Amino acid sequence: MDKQSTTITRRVWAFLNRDVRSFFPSNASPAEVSETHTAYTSRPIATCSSVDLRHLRVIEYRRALLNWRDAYIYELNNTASSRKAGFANSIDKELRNRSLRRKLFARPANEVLKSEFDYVIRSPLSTIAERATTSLQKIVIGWGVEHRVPSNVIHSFIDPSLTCIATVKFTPNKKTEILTTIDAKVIQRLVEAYSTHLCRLTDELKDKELK
Amino acid sequence: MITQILFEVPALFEAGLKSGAISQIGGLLKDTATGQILAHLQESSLAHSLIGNAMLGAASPVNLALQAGSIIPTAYTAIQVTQLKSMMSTLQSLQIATLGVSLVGVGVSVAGFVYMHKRFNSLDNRIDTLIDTVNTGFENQQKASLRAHMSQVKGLVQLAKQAESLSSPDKEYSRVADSLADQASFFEGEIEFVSRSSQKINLEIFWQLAQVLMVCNSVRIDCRMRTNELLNAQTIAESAAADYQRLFGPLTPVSFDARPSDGAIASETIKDITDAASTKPYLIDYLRTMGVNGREYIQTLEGEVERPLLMLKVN
Repeated sequence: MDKQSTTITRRVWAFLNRDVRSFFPSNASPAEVSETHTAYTSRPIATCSSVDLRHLRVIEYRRALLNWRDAYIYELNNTASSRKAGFANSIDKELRNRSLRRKLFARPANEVLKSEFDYVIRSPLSTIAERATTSLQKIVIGWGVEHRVPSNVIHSFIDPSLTCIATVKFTPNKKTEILTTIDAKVIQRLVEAYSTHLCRLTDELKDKELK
Repeated sequence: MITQILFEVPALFEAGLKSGAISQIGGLLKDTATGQILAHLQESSLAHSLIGNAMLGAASPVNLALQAGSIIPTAYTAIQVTQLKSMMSTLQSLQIATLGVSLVGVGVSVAGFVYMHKRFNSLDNRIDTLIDTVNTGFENQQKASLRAHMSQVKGLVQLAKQAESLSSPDKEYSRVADSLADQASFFEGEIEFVSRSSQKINLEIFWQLAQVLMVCNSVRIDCRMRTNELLNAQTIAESAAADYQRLFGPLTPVSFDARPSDGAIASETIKDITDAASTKPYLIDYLRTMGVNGREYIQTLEGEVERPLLMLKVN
C-alpha cells in the first residue's frame, strides 16, 4: 500500500471506531467539544464621553424642519376650512344672481364654479405651498445644508376642471351635493397632496449632512 | 470626580436665553456661538408632587399646553400655587411650550416609583375603558394581549417601588429594568399599529399608549441610575430617543382625529418630548464622566423641597 491509501484507511478505521454516543451533542466527549470558556469578569467601564456634541445641531435642525412642516400643514388645513365657507357663500351669491333663463336651463356646476373655485380655494392653497417651499429653502440655507428645494412640483393637478361635478346641474337644490363632492374629491385631496409633499420634503432633508 | 452635586436656578440663564447668547434644546442649554453645553435642566421630585395630579388627569396632550393657570388644581396651597406658577414660567422662559417634557422626565426622571405606579394605574384604567368604548381597530386577541402587558408593567413598577425595602435592591432593579425593556418593545409595536392605520389616529388611545411607553423607559433609566449603571442608563436613553424620533417624527397636527388646533398642541408636545429624550443621554454622559454616583444624584433630587426645576451647570 502506498502512503496515501494508508492514511485513508487509518481515517476510515478511526471513524468506524467512534463511539456512537458522540453523535449526540449531550454526550459529546470533552475532546469533541469546543474548548472555549467564557470568563464573566467585570470590565472597566469607560469614563470618557461617548456623546457627539455635533449631534445637538442635528436635533435642532430636525426640530426646525418639523416645526416648518407642522406650521404649514396646519395653515393649509385652516385655510381650506375657512375658504370652504367662503366658497359656499360664493355659490349662494351666484345662485341668487341667476337670470330666469339660466335658472331654467342650468349649466353644469363645474362650468359655473371653476374660476371661482380656483380663485377662492385652489389659488390660496397653492400660494401657501409655494410660500412653504421658499421658507424651507431659507431654513436649508441657514443650516448650511447643500440641497435645492424643488419649487415646481407642488402645482396640483387634482381635477383642474372640476369634472367631479360635471354631471351636476348648477341649481339651488344641488348646492349641498356640489359642496360635499368638491370637498371630498378636490379640497381634501389638494390639502392631502400638499401635506404629503411637505412631509416628503422633510423626510428627504432630515438626514442631510450639516456643514 | 464630583463630591458634591451643585445646582443652579434656571433664572440665572434667562438673560442669555432672551438675548440669544444661550439656546435651549430639549433639556439642555448651550452656548449659541460655540455650541458648548452650559447646563442641563433637571427636575426635582417636587416637580412631580406639584404637577402630578394634573398629569394623572391628562386625557390628551392638549391638557399639557403651558397656558397660565390651566393646570392649577383648586386644592393647592398658596405656596404650591406659587411654586407651580414659577415652574411653568421657567419652562416658558426656556421656550418649552408644553408639560410633555415632564412626562418623559426633564433631565433624569425622579418621579419616583410611587408616582410612576400611581400614574400607571391611571393609564391602565383609561386604556381599559378606551379599548372597549372606542373603535380602535384592536382585535379581541390584541385587546387581551394589551391588557396582559399592562398588568405586567404594573407588576414591574410595583416591584421597583418595593425594591428599596430589600437588603440588596440592585438585583431587583436590574431585573425590573430588563423586563421593562421587553414591555417597552411591545408598546412601541402597539403605537406603530395605531399610527399606521390609514384612518386618523385616535388621539386619546395614542396618548395613553405613548405614556405607557414613556413610563417603561423612565423606570428603566431610573433603575439603572439607582444601581449606578450610568453607561447602561445612557444607552437606554439613547435608544429610547431614537425610538421616539422614529415613532413620533411622522406625526403632524392633522394626523389625529382631533380639531387642528388640538392636533397642533399634540404635535408640539410630542416634539418637546422627543427633544427632551434626545438630550437626556447628554446629561447622563456628563454625570458618568464626572464620576457622579447615580444613586446619590437621584437621592439629592429627591431631597429637594423648594425648587421644582434646577440647572446642573456644566464645568
